[in-house]
Amino acid sequence: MASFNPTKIGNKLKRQQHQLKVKKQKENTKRDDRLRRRRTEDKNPALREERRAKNVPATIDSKRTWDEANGDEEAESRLGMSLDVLNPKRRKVEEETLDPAEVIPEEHLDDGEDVEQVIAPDTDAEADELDSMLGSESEDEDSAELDGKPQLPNRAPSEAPSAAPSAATAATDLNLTPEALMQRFPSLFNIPPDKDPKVLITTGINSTLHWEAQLLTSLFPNSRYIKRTAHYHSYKYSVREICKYAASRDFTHVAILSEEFKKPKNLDIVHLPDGPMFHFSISNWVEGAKIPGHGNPTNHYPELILNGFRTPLGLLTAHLFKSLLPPRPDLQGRQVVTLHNQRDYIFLRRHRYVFRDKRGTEKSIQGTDGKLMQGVEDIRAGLQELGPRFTLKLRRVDKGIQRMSGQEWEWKAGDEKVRTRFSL
Amino acid sequence: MASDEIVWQYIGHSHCSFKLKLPGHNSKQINTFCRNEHNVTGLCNRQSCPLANSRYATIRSDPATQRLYLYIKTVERSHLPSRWWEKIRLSSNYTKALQQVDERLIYWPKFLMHKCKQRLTRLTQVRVRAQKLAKEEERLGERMVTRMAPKIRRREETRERKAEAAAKIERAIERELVERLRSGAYGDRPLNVEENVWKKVMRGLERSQEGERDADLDDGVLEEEEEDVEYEYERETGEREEAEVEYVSDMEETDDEAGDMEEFDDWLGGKSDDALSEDDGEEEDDSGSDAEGGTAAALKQKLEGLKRKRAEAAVPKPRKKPSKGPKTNIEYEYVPDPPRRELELAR
Repeated sequence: MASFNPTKIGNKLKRQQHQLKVKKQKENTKRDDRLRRRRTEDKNPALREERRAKNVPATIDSKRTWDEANGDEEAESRLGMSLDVLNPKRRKVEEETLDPAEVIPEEHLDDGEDVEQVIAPDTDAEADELDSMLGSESEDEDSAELDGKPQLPNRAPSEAPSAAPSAATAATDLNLTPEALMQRFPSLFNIPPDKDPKVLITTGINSTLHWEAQLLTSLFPNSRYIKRTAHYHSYKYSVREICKYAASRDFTHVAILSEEFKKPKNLDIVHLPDGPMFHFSISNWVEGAKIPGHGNPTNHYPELILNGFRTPLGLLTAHLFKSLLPPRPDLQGRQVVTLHNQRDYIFLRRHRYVFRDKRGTEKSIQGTDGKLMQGVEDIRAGLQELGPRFTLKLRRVDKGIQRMSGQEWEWKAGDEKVRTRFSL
Repeated sequence: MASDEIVWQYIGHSHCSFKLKLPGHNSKQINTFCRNEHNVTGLCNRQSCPLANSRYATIRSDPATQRLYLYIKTVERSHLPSRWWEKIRLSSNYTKALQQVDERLIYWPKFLMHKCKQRLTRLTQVRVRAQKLAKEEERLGERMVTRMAPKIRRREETRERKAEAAAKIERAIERELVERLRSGAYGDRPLNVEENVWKKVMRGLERSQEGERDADLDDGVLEEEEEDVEYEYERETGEREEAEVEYVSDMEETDDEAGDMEEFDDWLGGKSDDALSEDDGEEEDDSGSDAEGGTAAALKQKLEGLKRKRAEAAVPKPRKKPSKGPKTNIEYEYVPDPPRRELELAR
C-alpha cells in the first residue's frame, strides 16, 4: 500500500487495466463537473456568460500587433508600416488632436473594429475583440436554451457557439481611407464612379496558360485575353509597350499571368496609365470545374466583397480590386466575388448566392460582434461556388510599370518574423 | 623547354587534373578536353596545353568589364610562376584587336597566333550576343523571378493553410450579404431576393426597430387608431408614410399607373405610389451607385430616412393578419410592378 507507484506495475496487463481505470475516472469526473456546471448555469445564465467571457481563446488575429506611427503625419500614406487605419478610436484621436500617434499597440487590440457599412444599432467598439461566443466550443454542445427548453433529440440546431467572427474578417469600409493616401495615388482613388473597367489579360512570353487566362476573362467582366508571341523571329512586345498601347485604347488595367511548372504563379496588375503596379503571387489555383458542387458563371456583373483590409497598403489593394470590377453589379445575377484578406493572404472566391429561409437545423448568422444579427434571424444565404478560386499574396508595389520604376513597397521575408505582424 | 617534354609525358599520358574525357557522337569516340582557364583551344593536345608549353598565348575576357585581354607566357619568365602571364588589353574594336594580336605574336608559331585570333573572334561574337540579350531582357522587363527559399516556401504554405482555416470565408460572405440585404443596399425591392424572404427581412427589421422607436412616439397616436388594420400591409411595402399623411389631409383621386392599384388606393384614399416610387427611385439611384463595394454613407442616410418615416407611422398592434380576402390579393398583385420601373431608372 505504501510505496505503490502506478506506472511501475510490472505486469503489463495489470498496468494497462490500471491505466484504463484511471482514465475512465478522469473522464467521469470531467463529465460530472461539466453536467453540474450546466445545471447551475441553466438556472443562472449570467454565470455562463461570465465563464465564456473569461475563457476566450486568443487567436493570432486578436493578438495582432501594429507599428507605431510616432507623430508621423505622413505615416498613413507611406505603405511601409502596418497601421490600423480603420480603427475608429485612432481616427478620433487624429481628428481631435491633429496628432496621429497617441496610440499604443495594446489599445488597438481592444478596439480594432471595422466600421461596417451598416448603421444598424450595432455594438460597442470595445467589446468585440472579446469573442464571447468563442469560449467553450467543445463543451455545452447540447446545452439547452436560456428558457430551459428541452433539447429535441434529432434535429435542433446546435446551440454550441460557433467560432465567432472578429473584426479581422469584417468587411472593409473603403470610405475610411486616409486623405494622405488618397492624395498619393490619385489615379487609383479618383476614378469616376461610372467608369467601367476594361482589363487586358495577358501572360508571360513563353507561357502555356491560355486556358487559365481565359478563365480570368470570365472572372473580370469586360476583359480580354491577348496572347504573347513566342515565335523566334517575331518582335516580342515588352510589358511597358503593351501598357502604352492598352492605355491608348482605353483599357484601365493590364493583368499579366506568369507561370511556373505549367501552373499560374504570379499575377501582376498594372493600373493604367503608368499607375502603380501590383505584383501578387498565386497559390492554390483551383479551376471551377474541379470544385465539387460548382456552378457555371454567367455574364452578369458580380458584386464585390472586400474583407479584412486594414492597413494603408491593404486599403490600396482593396481599391485596386474595386477598380477592377464594374461598379454597378447586376443584382439579378446574384453573383459575388469575394476578396478576403486573412493574415496577408487574399483569398479570392466566386459564388452564386441565394437568400433562403433558415432550416431547422441551422444556426442564425452572427455579426462581427459575436451576437446574432437582428432582423434576419431566419435568413441564411446559400452559396454555390463558381469559377476559379485562388490565393493571392501581395509581393511588391511599383510606382510605375516595372521594377525599374522604383518600389512603393516590397515584401521581405524578415517582415514575417514576428508572427503577429501583418502588412495588409 | 626540356621540361615541357617531361611535363607532357606525365600529364598527357598519365594524369592531369584539368583533363576531361567525354564521349563523342559515336560510341567509340572519346574526346579529351582541358579545363585549364588559359587553354586556347579547350582541347587536351601537346600544342594546346598551357602547362606543357613554356611559350604560350591565349585570349581571355574579364568577366566584370567584358574586355578582351591577350595573355602571353614566355620562356624567360618560366622560373617565376607568379609572373608567367603578361596581360595585354586589346582594343574593343575587332579589327584593331586583330592587328594588336598580330604585332604581339609576330614571329610566334603559326599555330598559336591562329588559335589566338580564332579565340578572339569567338569571344567577340559571344560578347556581342550577350549584349544583345541583355538589352532585350531590359526592354522586356523582368524575366527572372527568383525561387523562394524552401524554408520560406514551406512556412508560407503552412501559414496560408492556417489563415484559410481561420478565415471562415463562406461565413464571412454570408454575413456580409445578409448585412447588405438588411441594410437596404439592394434597394427597396431587390432583384436578388425572393418575395417571402424579403418580407421576412422587412418584418424583422421593423420588429427590431420597434424597440428603438417606442421612445419617439408623440405624434402618430391619432393616426394609429385609424389605420391599425391596414397598417401591416402598408409597412411591409415600406412606402406608406407619405400616403398616410395624405390620407388624413387630402382625399384626392388616384392616378395610379398599375390598374391593380385602384382598389388599394381607394381603400387608402390617398395618392398612389407615384410620388413615393419616384422618391424611392431616386433613393435607389443613390443606393444603387453606392452599393458597389458596400459603402456606408448613402445607406446610412437612406435608412435613417426610412427610420424617420416609420417613426411617424403607427406602432403595431397585434400582428395577426385580419382575414380580409380581397386585401391579400391586392397585396400580391401590387408588389412586382413598380420596382421594375424603379430599377430601370436606377440603371
